[in-house]
Order: sequence, then structure tokens, then C-alpha cells
Amino acid sequence: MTASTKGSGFAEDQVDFAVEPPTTLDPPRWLEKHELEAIGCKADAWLEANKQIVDALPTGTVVMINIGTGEYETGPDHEAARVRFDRRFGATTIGHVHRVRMPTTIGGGWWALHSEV
Amino acid sequence: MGVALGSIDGRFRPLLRIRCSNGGDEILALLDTGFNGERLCDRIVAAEIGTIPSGRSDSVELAGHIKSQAQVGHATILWLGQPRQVRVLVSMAPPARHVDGEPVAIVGGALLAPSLVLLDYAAMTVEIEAQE
Repeated sequence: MTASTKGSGFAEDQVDFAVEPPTTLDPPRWLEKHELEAIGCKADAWLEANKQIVDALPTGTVVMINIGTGEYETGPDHEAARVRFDRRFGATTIGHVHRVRMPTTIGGGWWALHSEV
Repeated sequence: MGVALGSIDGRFRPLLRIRCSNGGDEILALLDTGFNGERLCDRIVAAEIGTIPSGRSDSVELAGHIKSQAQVGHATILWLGQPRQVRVLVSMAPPARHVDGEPVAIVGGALLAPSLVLLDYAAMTVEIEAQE
């Protein structure tokens, strides 16, 4: 598998990016809710614009998208993709993780964790 | 081989105490086989267990196919007698008020593999045994 070096890779004409997310985090910190939502918005636009590429990848492939540039790296698992991404873009570069046809599922636990008892 | 023991509470939830390698207290975690990640918690608990933010996000799918965003961090826990670096998903939902006996984190299938997990709803016990 090879990494994209073309353009931004974002379907920006389809999405109104009212809030631009940060592209790097140095020093590391937790993202604020609005930043995380903006990253998710850009990631969704990228996945829509690059649907054919992503669909052609083997199930379970981890795609890490550089939110600032639209370039990406892939790996057979989270760790492999992270190592490639960090080596190419740096460990403080903001990224979004997508696992092909294997989304992270939480079931009912999210509510169980945050329910008042 | 390492073994972790837990219990099933009166609400039929399998619970485990997990120790983090930063020397902090044990935390109570809910074993959720509907979660296919390693660990999920809120920002306060993530900080307490020494989770390092990565600046990466992950789309998560909740029941009913509702999508949300979580942040990714990394922490080291003592798991089945060994230190293990785990990928922690950090919820942006407002942290809940923590109550004694209530879990503050969720552990899922990616942490359990490749262990033997025994949920005994007769004895109300949980046993996880390393298989390597």
C-alpha cells in the first residue's frame, strides 16, 4: 500500500468548515470538544472524497489521515499505522484514525459509563 | 500464566479492578464485550491513570449506529501480571460524578484477546486467564 501525496484530499466544496481544527499539538494535550468535532468533520469529508481508495483497501487496514494536509498512511493495525504516520509527519501532527470496514464499536458501554446512578 | 479475577455485581455487570503502572490507585472497569477497543474512559480518569494524549481522533459507533468522536491516548497498565501499553479511547462526554462501586472505565475485546474469559453468572465471578 502506498501513501497519498496528492492535493489536500478533502472534499472541501461539500463541507462548511466553520471551525478549522488545529494541525499540530505541541506539547501534547487533550483536544477540546469543538476541536474534536472539527477534526471529525474533516475526516468524514476526506473519507467521502476518497471512498474508492478506502474501499479498495483490505478489511481491517488502519488509515491515518493527516488532518492538516489530507495525506495519509496505512498499516495492518493501529500500531503499524501510527509508527508510519509519526515517522512521516511527526508525533505531534493531528490525525484521524479509520479502520476499513471495522469501526470501533462501543455498544451500550458509553451510556453505562456516563449514567448517573 | 497471569490471571485476573473480578466479580459480577447486582446489576449483572462484569467488573474488574485494574492497576495502572503510574503507581496510582486501582480503578474499577466494566468488561464490555460490545466494545472492540482496549479501554475507554473520560478525561479525568485518563489523566489519573497517566494517559498520554496522542492528538489523534477515532470515530466510534454507538448502539443504534450513532457516530461520535473519541480521542486516542496511550497508557501502561498491569494486565495479567505484565505491564501492557494500551490504546485508550477518551470520551468527550462530560465526566460523570464518580460513585463508589461504579466503574469509571470500560475494557473491551481488544484488551481481552487472546485470553480465556470466564463469566460465571452462577457464582457471579469473572476470571480472565492469559493463553500465551
